Amino acid sequence: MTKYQSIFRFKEPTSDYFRGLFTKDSAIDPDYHKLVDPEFVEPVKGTGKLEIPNFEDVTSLDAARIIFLSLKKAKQPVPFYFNDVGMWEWLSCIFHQAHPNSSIGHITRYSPSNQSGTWNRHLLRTPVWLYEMFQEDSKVYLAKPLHVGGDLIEPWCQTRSVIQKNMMGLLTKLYFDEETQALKKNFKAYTKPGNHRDLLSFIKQLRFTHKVEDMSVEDLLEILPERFDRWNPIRS
Amino acid sequence: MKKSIKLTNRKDIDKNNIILEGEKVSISDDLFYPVITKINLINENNFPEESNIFIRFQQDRQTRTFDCGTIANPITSLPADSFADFITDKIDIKATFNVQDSSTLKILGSNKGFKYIFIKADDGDFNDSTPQVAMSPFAMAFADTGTKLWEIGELDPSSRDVKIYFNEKINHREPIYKDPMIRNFILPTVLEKMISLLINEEGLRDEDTFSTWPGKLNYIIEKYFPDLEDMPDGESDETDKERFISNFINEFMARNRNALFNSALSRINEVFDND
Repeated sequence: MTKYQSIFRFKEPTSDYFRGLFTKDSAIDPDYHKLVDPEFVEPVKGTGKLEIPNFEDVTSLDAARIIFLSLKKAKQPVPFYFNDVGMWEWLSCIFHQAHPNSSIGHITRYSPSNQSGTWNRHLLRTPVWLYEMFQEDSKVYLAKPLHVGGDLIEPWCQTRSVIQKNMMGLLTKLYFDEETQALKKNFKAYTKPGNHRDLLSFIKQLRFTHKVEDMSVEDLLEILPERFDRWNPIRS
Repeated sequence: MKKSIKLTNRKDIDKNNIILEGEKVSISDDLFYPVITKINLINENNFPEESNIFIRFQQDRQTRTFDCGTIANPITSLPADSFADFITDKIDIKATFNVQDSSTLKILGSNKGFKYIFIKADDGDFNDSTPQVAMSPFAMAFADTGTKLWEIGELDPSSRDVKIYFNEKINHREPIYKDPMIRNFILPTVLEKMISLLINEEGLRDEDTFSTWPGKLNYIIEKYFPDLEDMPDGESDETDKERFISNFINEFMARNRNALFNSALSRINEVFDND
């Protein structure tokens, strides 16, 4: 367990040092002294203490909860910090251990992009955004290892209008296995109708003719076409 | 020929028939949130009076839906704190206006593409807002205009804007210069004078700065007529000059249809219905 008095931000965002940490095949590990050295970082005022577990299988839900609880102590509302690049880069560093080198991927997973198409790529900011809205119910999006982007998050989060409690409830009912606390197998099988991308297309169409915002999860399950039957608990 | 097939009976609402106006509330030097101060619909599609209205708003990553009454009794504004958490340094709230059948709850109509409330959309639909105010080649002021209710100030090409003076004896100052009916009456005449000077005075057509009204007008002309090759000049035939001026004014009024025409029509009805 590593403890920090607060969240910090890098004074110089997206430095070569930071890039080096998140470059594939780079053997550099963070210098944890540097992460609290006032020469390189400054505290994000008002944020609470952080306790980072030393395990590699930390989930996105765990990380979101830890960061959210710290940010919530600050004066500003949590979304105020979404564009603080230096802060999200610092947070990525303290969770560095959770990212196996083989799955490093694009830098926007660690250094937040503010472009609409890539906003959701950040492996910590998006979970905190979802956690801020849905708290522990956000498990359908976040019950996965932190280093995994998640096939469900990107398409669904890019369509802002479907980030609603009832939509999350629908996804949970269809694709989340309460027993294993993980997404069901094959929920993303692209070739088979009824996968989660198919559901997203259906919901987008439904919004043209229905006020989807007011529909309950039960109403939505009821209205789903036959191709979703294998997932639909009221039909299968 | 390209044909579009509609699979539902949903009607498209012309964005110019949707009136959504707002103001920005400052919470610090560079952070704001929006307030929606005016909501209305010109019911050109003849939706039944009892139909419900709901509006989907979106800004950055945030979305919010509001029930806004019925066609017969629309809610005319939203509570000031409705978007108090939509804090941003650049307000670009946009909306989809929906009319819903009161019994089946199906959507009868909505606008295609977003209705922008503060900033200009790609298709030229724009309302009064801060960015446009900064670009405006006009300014309103009060002065002694004798027995005239208004007059045009000096057309000095080095000025930021052309002043439209209202008679200082008018007591209702703000309502006068914001009134869409009055703006519709006045602006074509003012524009005619400005464009005419731009055409006839050599060199003004080359102004490309936003710090003078000729520069602002040149920018607007380029926006409205991107393929324009030859703008008339002082030597051109008078008919060509008149045609260009008329085309420009028509385009200006069409692009500002919501603020200058639809609102003016409502205002005229309001004024004379009370007579």
